[in-house]
Amino acid sequence: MKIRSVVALVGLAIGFAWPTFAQEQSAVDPKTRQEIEAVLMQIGEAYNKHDATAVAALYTHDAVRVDNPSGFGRALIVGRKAIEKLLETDFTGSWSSSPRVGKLVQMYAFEDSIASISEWSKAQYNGHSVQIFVRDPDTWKIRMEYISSAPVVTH
Amino acid sequence: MKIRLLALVGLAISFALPTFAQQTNAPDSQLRDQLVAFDKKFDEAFNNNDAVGVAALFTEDALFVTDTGPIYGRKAIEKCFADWFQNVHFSNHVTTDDQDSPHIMGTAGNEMWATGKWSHIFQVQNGDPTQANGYWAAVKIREGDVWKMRMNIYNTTPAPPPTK
Repeated sequence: MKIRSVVALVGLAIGFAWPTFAQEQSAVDPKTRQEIEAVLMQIGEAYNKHDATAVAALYTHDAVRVDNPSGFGRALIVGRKAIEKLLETDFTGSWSSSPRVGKLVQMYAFEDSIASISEWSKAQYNGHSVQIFVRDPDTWKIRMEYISSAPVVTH
Repeated sequence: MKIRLLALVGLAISFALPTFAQQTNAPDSQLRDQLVAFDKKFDEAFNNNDAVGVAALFTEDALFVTDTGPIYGRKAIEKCFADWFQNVHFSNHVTTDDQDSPHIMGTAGNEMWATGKWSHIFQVQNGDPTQANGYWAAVKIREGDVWKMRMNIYNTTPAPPPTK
């Protein structure tokens, strides 16, 4: 009886502890969070200044970007150079005068990477983006970025 | 002599660079097989319109970013799929991985990210079967011997405008 109660209690304790443990495992320490937020802010500022080189410098040389396919006919972009070229095209497009606004939604840690999820909006478009950051000697850089857009509502 | 040595070093580097580039781009074949096996399980559950089966492939704390916003946790993800499957019949769901996926994260070999494409046919009640496709990115983590989705984001490629 005693053993059963103890086992049940331990089981119950594990049941309660597991989600907390999982949360703790993926929690981002405040210093890292601050560093990632700073990089996201740098990207946002450089993007709105139409500085493709500065934005691209915050991606790893082998970065992968899956871009929003709606209306642009592009999808997988591989490498910093290709990303820079894509940004240059973006900055000359008809929607380039509208600023892009980003808002961090969530961040969680993996063994040596950080994933961030943000909302973005620009002109009549909006959506979500996911970035995987890896450590560079001096900063964090984007290794993978996925930009998704919400369906455009037309009236 | 020094010049010859430099030339040899240069030659060695020029041979080594493409090999290094290949190594960084080619996915681990065992991991690739595991990713493909995961896709197969996902496609099977999806084609059976089995919300519980699909949700079981996500971690308990997973994040699913749909094109209308993020959904947090396996329970909520299951409800999302259950709602879809209740209103729409899906078939021929096929997940494909980009050729350089998956990418290992960390050193323990328990985390990976991947990108790829998806396609399926959907049919609402009294509607015609319609083809849809798009792109996805996902982070998967190993729980014991099983890979589960920790994060998934996808988009749907809009249908081309009707021809006049």
